[in-house]
Amino acid sequence: MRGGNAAKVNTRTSATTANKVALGLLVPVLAAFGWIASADLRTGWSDDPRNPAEPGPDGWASIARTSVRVAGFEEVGTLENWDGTPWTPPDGYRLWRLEVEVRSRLTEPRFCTVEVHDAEGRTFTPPGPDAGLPETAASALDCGSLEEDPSLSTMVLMPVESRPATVRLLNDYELAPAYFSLPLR
Amino acid sequence: MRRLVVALLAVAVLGAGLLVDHAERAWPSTRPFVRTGTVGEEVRLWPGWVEVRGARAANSYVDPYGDEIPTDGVWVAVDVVLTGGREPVGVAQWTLEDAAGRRFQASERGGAYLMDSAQPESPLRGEIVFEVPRDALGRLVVRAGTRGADDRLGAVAAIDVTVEEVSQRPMTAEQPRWEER
Amino acid sequence: MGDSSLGPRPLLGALRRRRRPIVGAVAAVVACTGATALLGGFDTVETTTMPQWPAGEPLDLGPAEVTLLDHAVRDDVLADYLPDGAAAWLIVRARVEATDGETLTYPPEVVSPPEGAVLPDGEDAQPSADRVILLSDGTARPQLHPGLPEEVAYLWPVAEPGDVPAELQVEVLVSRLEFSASSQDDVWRTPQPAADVILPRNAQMPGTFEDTV
Repeated sequence: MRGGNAAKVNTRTSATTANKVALGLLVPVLAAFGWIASADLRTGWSDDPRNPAEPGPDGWASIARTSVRVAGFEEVGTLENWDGTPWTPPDGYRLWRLEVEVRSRLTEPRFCTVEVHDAEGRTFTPPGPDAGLPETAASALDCGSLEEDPSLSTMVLMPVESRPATVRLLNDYELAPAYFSLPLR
Repeated sequence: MRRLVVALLAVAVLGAGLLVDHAERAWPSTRPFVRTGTVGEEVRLWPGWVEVRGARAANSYVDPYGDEIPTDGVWVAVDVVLTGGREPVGVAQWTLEDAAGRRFQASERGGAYLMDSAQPESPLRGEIVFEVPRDALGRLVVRAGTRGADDRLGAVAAIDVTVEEVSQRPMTAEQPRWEER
Repeated sequence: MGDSSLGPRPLLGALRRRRRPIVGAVAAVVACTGATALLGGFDTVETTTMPQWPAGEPLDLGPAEVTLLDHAVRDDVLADYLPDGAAAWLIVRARVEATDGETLTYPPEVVSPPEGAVLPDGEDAQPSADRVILLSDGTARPQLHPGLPEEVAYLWPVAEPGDVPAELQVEVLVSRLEFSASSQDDVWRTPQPAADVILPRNAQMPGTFEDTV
């Protein structure tokens, strides 16, 4: 009986020790789990663009194997309609044409959407057919390997008082959160 | 006593499960952000604005090519202005809701124009065309949604407008144009 | 001697205690199988014949009320759009009205041709219609608004006009409203055959097709 009781006491003691060890381990294990599980939170889970690739002194901005440069950003006074008549921007707006150059070592084509940011911090995108432009303003430009007849030019229609400041080229799937950010003028 | 506790716990677990199932349907946790207004008011449709200037109805509708598009109902054209805010605003769906709660999508017939986006400070004005049964006329709500059918986390502007008279003259919708500033 | 020591008597006792669970398990299997058999679980399922509904009667098929009217086999309309291997179109005319309080973005799948009548789509001998057209103006995949019933034509390519019997028996498909957890809303799903309808042949289908010819 004595031996029996002694055995039980030992068991209870070893159980308590085991519990303490386990508790002691639980804390770092939970911490490690929390660290792993919060990876998305810590790196900023959204793909919102926040890593701008800006141009160096030669004007080229690079992300991985692609570089982009603004070849031209000019105001356009008038365009020609298909019937030869002139088209001018509606009163209160100015039309701008953007041209880019792309050098890429990618083997597949890739497209980037275009945003023009003005000095007041507003974002403009190329307009759709409702602007009545005689030519379509491409909503995306080539920013990968260039096939025949690449899309390297588009237009934006902005209020007359807007001062264009920067153009961004974005691709949610392949580049985000990085994006090309090129100053205008 | 213990068995009673176990039984009660089992009932509680089952009940919780049934409640959660009901809750998903009855009280959805995500819904669109709706702002309301009336004719002539600029209503917030994040990131931009939408305004209904008016609405008219006619028995017949003529498309941009001059062809009459037949209907057993009536055509309703809603005069709207869509403007971007600090970013362009996109409208994925225009709907007309009648007093009975029926929701009619903007018509795709007859070369209807899309008014699906507007740039910052650049008002886009045009008419959205709906085909509805005659008994839908009266008090209507024009709804512009930034998301389509699944609008749960999108913005919606719901604007009251009344249309009662039906013009006998064929209607041609105003195509969207950038308003002069 | 303590409880922990193993001798012949405790071993037999242990075995006896273990036998009751085994007996219990076998008894449970026998009871369940027997109950299943008694309740008809092992009976051969009889395939019931589908109910027969007449053409021209409005049917509530879920998202829409549908009245199947008639059919035609035409090689003189939309001939340029016939796919390879098809000599004609099977056209099923129906009056469809959205009844769920909202515009249907496109016509629902409500009718299925019998096997052998139309060109199969891969393995599927009863494919969905190749195209659906609004008969009043030829609009493809027309919206259907509540309160505005429309005559629409469902089209399937046919290898030979003779493949389509003059008394064409089609299946009518019913959709169920099911809760979708991903969109947190009820959606119409899984069109299933619910009835057979015999459609008379209408050699001259009215509407758009007459204008085309």
